[in-house]
Amino acid sequence: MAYIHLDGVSKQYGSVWAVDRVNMAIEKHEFVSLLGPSGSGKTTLLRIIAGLERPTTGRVLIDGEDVTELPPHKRGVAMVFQEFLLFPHRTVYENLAFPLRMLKLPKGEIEARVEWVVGILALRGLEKRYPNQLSGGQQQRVALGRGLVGRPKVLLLDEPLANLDRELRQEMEVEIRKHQTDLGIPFIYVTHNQEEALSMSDRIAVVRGGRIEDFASRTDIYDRPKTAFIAQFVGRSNRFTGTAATAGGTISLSGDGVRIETATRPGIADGERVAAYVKNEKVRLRPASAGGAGAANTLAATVRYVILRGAYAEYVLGWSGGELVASRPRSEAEFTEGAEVVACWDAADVDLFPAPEDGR
Amino acid sequence: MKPRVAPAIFLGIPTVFLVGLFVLPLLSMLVLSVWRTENYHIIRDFSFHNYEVLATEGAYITFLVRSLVMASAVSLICTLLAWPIAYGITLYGGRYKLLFSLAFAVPFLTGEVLRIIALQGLLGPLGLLNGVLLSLGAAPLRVIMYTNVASAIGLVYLYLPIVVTVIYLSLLNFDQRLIDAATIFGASPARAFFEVTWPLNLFGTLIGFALCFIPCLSATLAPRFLGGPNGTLYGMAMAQQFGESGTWALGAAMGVVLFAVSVLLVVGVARLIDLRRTGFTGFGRG
Amino acid sequence: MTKSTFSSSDAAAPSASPVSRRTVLKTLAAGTAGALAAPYIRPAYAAPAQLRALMWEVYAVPDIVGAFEEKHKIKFSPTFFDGNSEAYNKLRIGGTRDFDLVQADGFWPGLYFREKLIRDIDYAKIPNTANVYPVFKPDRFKLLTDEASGKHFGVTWCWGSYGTTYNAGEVPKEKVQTIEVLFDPAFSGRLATSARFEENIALTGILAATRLGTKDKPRPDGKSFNPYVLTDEELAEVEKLLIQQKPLLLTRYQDNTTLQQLLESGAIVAAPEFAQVYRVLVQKKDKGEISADFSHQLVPKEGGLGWVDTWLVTTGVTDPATLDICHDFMNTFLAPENIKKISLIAGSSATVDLRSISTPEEQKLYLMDRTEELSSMYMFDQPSSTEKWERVWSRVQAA
Ligand SMILES: Nc1ncnc2c1ncn2[C@@H]1O[C@H](COP(=O)(O)OP(=O)(O)OP(=O)(O)O)[C@@H](O)[C@H]1O
Ligand SMILES: [Mg+2]
Repeated sequence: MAYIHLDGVSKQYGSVWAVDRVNMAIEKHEFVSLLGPSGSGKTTLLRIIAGLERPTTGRVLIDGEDVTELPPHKRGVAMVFQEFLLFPHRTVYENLAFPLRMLKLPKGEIEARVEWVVGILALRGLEKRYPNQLSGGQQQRVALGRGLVGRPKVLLLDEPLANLDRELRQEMEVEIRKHQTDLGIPFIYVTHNQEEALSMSDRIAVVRGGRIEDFASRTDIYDRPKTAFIAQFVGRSNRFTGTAATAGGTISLSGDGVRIETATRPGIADGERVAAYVKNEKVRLRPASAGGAGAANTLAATVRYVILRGAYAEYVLGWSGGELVASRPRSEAEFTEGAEVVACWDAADVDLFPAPEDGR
Repeated sequence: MKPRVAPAIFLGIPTVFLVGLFVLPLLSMLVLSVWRTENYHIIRDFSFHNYEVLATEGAYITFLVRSLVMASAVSLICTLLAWPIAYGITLYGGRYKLLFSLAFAVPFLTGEVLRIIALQGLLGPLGLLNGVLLSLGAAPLRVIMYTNVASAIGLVYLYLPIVVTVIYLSLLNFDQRLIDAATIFGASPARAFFEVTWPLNLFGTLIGFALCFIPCLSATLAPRFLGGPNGTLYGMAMAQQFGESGTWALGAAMGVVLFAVSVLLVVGVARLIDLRRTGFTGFGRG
Repeated sequence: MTKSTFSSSDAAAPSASPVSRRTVLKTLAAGTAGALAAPYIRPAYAAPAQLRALMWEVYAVPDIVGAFEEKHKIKFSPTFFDGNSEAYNKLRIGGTRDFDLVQADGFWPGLYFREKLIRDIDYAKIPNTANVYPVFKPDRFKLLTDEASGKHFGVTWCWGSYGTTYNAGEVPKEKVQTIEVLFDPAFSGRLATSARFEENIALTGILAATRLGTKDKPRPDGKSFNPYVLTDEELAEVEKLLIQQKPLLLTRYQDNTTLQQLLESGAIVAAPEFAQVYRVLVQKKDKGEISADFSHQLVPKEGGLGWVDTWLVTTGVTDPATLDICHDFMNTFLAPENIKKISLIAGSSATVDLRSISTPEEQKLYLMDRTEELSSMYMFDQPSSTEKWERVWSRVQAA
């Protein structure tokens, strides 16, 4: 049996189902991310696990125990809040010691544990300060430290890095993952930032409209999206729509001067409206002079802008069907703006789904 | 150099107000208190005679002690009542929160006299309470007819709204999610209250307490209309000096003493309390 | 000295507020105004065609005032006060220029005249003064005539006492004939007195002097006994008596409304007052609204307090035209049909003989046959030392 079990958990606010029949099983050593757009119910789900919110239906089990009716202070979970929520009237030391005091640990033990957290989170020298005398990053570390110090059964993190700048965030991502591995407790990490989710998680649950769209390993989520929503939401993709035509083990859709071909898959019928997704980094480029335009999964385009992203160059291409983005390592041959190119991709890199009802 | 006009205006206006409404009257009280009166005439002889009278005449000390006890009791009761009321509004007020907070301001619009008269109607001989008791066959409830208890009820009635409003505003500014944080980290609801809610609203509570305590200390109307023969409080005695008996100089000295006592109390409390421990961030980041 | 104003015609409830409002304003203003007033208050601009009076609110009866305004094409603008000492203070800080007419009672007019706040007037121009009872005529009523010059400086128009109103079913008549009734443990918790310190001390002073036997002995000032001029020994006795009285009192009433409710509800059975509440209660009884019988003891056997209300003209009135209007105003006020109306509204007894135009009930209720008793009363006065009296009062309240 998994360490944490969510069993048909739902939460209704008025007529809105903020969380809708969620089932999840999380193992003891897992780092799990809840990834979803704003308003999808991530925070609500986290608060249900924490006990701050009572589910309308369903059960929550932690370590084999049904905690659905248990108030938060008896659950042994900890949480790092998006807004940190450090106690403003307490020093850094007192904030870190708070969970330990609540556990009624002996004074020496408290000192030792705070000392430990201060050490691993590089908070030395700040112990006597009040939260409003700290920088954002320092506050974030204190919040994380307060979450870790009590060695909870599970640590819940609600977008803890959202308020930090990119650089600091990337540093923290590494640290958070490291502490999770060291402590050997599950971390449930809420974010709407796919990079964060991808960089740290073992598994990612994609949340949409209160439901779990898919809960799978990060590579599965990224490389083999199960739904159009995931394909769209995770990674950066180019999207094509058309009508499916099946023939001899391949399925193709044509329009706007490109023909997309890929292996057939179950669930897509001949003549159905479909959407195809190709990740930016799967699009290859070669000069137009090299020829080959007109083949399947190939199109002729013009470079409109080049956006440099460190080791990658992002090419925004114009073609007869609109715009297409290709992300290529800088080590490859570079193209300048206005260059005529041919873009192509492998049939295996095409994700194909029935086109969503809303016609997107 | 560019003249800095804005700060001068922004600090100047409150300064003018303070001087005009506060310093000048206080100075005139100080001056008057070292003169004396004789049958409705002010005699400008400098002496500390009035203060000697206040220090040696037991009656005025009695009034002051009575007032201190009364103000403490009333402020304590108000605070104890205001907390659950204000907290209830923040928790369950829902979309009527604004309405509730406005409702608490309504008594301020009617003026103190009307409220006291309303209270007299409630507690007096033919008042609602005694009316009910009489119809039940009980004798009028003498404890609340012209006693210090009646004064206390009157003062609670007068100042409860302001204490509720102040504590309510404090609670509005208080980030309720800190309670979530405390409970997540193992605090029971009661523990969370004393670890987080109470200290972080202590400053607001003290302001509410003071806004009840200080006017109670100088209350004149409630003891006058409700207090009965043994209910004379300091403020009421002071008002008599300025009103009926025309002994203004002694009254002024009483006023100065009252002011000094109030200031001492406020300063004393302020020194006892570490504002930082109440989450007060008015110090900046320093 | 102050007496509460009261409207007798329609019972009590609403009349409490104006009194209280003024009380408050006074209280609030007193603190700083007392200290600051003298140098800062500027006399108002004296507009012509205006008659300005400083008076009790209840006596400004609109139709009488309106008719007078019509007759002289003049605006009557009254300012109301709450007690003689307040009026006195107003006049002293320049009020003689702000007011033409002023009301006062007891010994106050004499004080005003000595301090040149009011001027002499001409009774010949006020023919209605001829209608007052003999006891209020200048030959017997000396308080409005300057001893030295023989000049008159005011007209009387209503009078009253500070007698004891009591519940006849609860208090035997013989007990009320003395001030002792207010100190009788038999009525513990069922007595009340006014909140004003002067009346409390003066009335108790009569009792104290009677008990000490100093009342009819030669007085230190060589004059006859005046409860407003008490010796230190008498004051000490007063203090003792008032402290003994405290546990017997339910309260000290602030206004007539409260007193009326206290008596009506049976919460108290006796209290000294200006007979105004007594009149209200009698009228209510006649209408069958209450069942208890209330009586009024006008003068206790030791002697009682009394007051006569007067109209005075300030020294600010110098030109003959204005003086004539003042004379005519007083004459109008004293006209029998007018004074009767005012008297009924205010619940006070008139000094003008109205018996020919009054019902027997009115004659009885407004004591029209008992004006002679006024001569046995001590007139309201200014305490000989407000400072001493204040100390006594504070000690009593703190005890
Ligand atoms: N207390 C509440 N009352 C009513 N509706 C609520 C309440 N809390 C959340 N909701 C609604 O439930 C849905 C899910 O909210 P939730 O806060 O869980 O979203 P989220 O995924 O955390 O979004 P974000 O990324 O913006 O934080 C939203 O539609 C929100 O409006
Ligand atoms: Mg959220």
